[in-house]
Amino acid sequence: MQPTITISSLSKNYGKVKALQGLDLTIEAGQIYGLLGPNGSGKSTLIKTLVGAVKPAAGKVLVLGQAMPQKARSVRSRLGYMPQNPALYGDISVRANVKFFARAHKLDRLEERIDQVLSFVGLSHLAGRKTETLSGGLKQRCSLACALVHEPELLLLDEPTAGVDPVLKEGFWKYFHELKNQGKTIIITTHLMDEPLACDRLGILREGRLIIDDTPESILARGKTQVTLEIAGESMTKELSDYPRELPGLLSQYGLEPDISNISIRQESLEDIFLKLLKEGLDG
Amino acid sequence: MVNNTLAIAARIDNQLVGDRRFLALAIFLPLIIFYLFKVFIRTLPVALLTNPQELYIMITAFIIHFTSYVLCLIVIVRERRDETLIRMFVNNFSRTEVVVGYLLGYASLATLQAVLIMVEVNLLFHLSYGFGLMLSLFAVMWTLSLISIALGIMVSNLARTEAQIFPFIPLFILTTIFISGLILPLESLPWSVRWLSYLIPFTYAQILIKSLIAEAGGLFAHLSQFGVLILYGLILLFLSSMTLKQRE
Repeated sequence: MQPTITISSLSKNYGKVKALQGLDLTIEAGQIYGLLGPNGSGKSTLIKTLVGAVKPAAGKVLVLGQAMPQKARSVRSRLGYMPQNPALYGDISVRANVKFFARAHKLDRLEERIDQVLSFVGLSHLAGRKTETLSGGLKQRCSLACALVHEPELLLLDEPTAGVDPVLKEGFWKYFHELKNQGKTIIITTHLMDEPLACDRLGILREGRLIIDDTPESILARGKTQVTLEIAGESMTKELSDYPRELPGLLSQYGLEPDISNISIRQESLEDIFLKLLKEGLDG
Repeated sequence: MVNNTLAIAARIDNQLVGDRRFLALAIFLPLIIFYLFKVFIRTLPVALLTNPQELYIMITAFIIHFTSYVLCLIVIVRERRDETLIRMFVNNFSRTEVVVGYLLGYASLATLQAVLIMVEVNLLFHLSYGFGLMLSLFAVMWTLSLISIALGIMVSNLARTEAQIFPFIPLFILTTIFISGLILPLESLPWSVRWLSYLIPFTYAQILIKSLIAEAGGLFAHLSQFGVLILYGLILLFLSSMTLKQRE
């Protein structure tokens, strides 16, 4: 099966700022791919390049098998884009916003499709409300509806859950998994550390370079477990790479020593690993 | 193409209807400005006014030109800031559809402005022109208002921030007043400046308005001058479309 995204040696500069530097990436169809990175790492530039809104300085970008931005017009009907801002017209209704962006796709049964997508994001009861009167989270839902209305096979979502409360965020991820189950490919940027675990694969960007492209499980496995033993009032800390296997060996040195009064285990979180990876690159 | 253009025009009209404060300001402020002009004119000695009716019409055209121009000045900048412009392009709206859609969307408001100001000038100054001439003058002013919208869109394309828009307002007013033939005849300008006059849309409108008033026969007798004004508008639309950046 042809990959949904193929990027090779992609670079983009804004004046002297190197937003993307020789980036290579392949994303298979039917995945939720998370792009993780600090502010200014190139996540949004990469997403904008994929939708044809940024012209690369060098490199090749294939989206759904078509070269971007050269074939942008033919690809765009098959992709849905949710920018970082809600990107809505505040002075018209939720329904009018969705309808406006949908009209360009010449959909059959347009009104029915708008009803479906508003129901999907839970905004049917607010369809007539002006978007400027909605909360930030509801605006994000409306923005998602605009990206979904034409049933694209590829979704590019730039920080869709930024500023969204935890309950709504959970709802968003439920939508994303439903969409994935429908066979869609989703590329999502985030700087929140709890979200990447829900992705099938993760790319970590630093200063416009892709430093990791792996599954969340493999990235987590790079973390170490700190084991602290308190023996006769003194504490001793050991770092284990694979604690379920290494811990028995460590403890066997102490037999059933009754002075071991407490064992605390702290496993590195994804955020720890992420920050360490960024730091390693900077130090190196 | 027509579908997308009409979708943009309909969305803009929907937004205008929803923003009643802006609508009221856009409609009533030009009328108030024109009334102030009447008060100003009444304080001048009659001897200073060689052709008062022509002056009233020229000021009417200038007010229509200016108010239509400012209608669209910040729209594209705002769309770019809010990322709705990029969203439109990603949803396959083309540059031409965006520019023409905006032109059509604001045309209804510009037409309403032009009609009301023309009615006001008649009520305030009791012009002695016949219906045919007034209709011809309205056609010129309506065309000028559409050109003004296209000019506003192009300026909005060129600016990157809302703050960058402001210098274009005095630039527009002062160049139109000084070198378009509104006050001084074009012939009195040195060529070093005069060539600039032909870059300004009001120059072509005022030439046509003066011809219409001076000679009978209506617009059909001045089709070539009217054609020049329309051609200017089409070139401006083309340039507006070309200067609208789709990509960073």
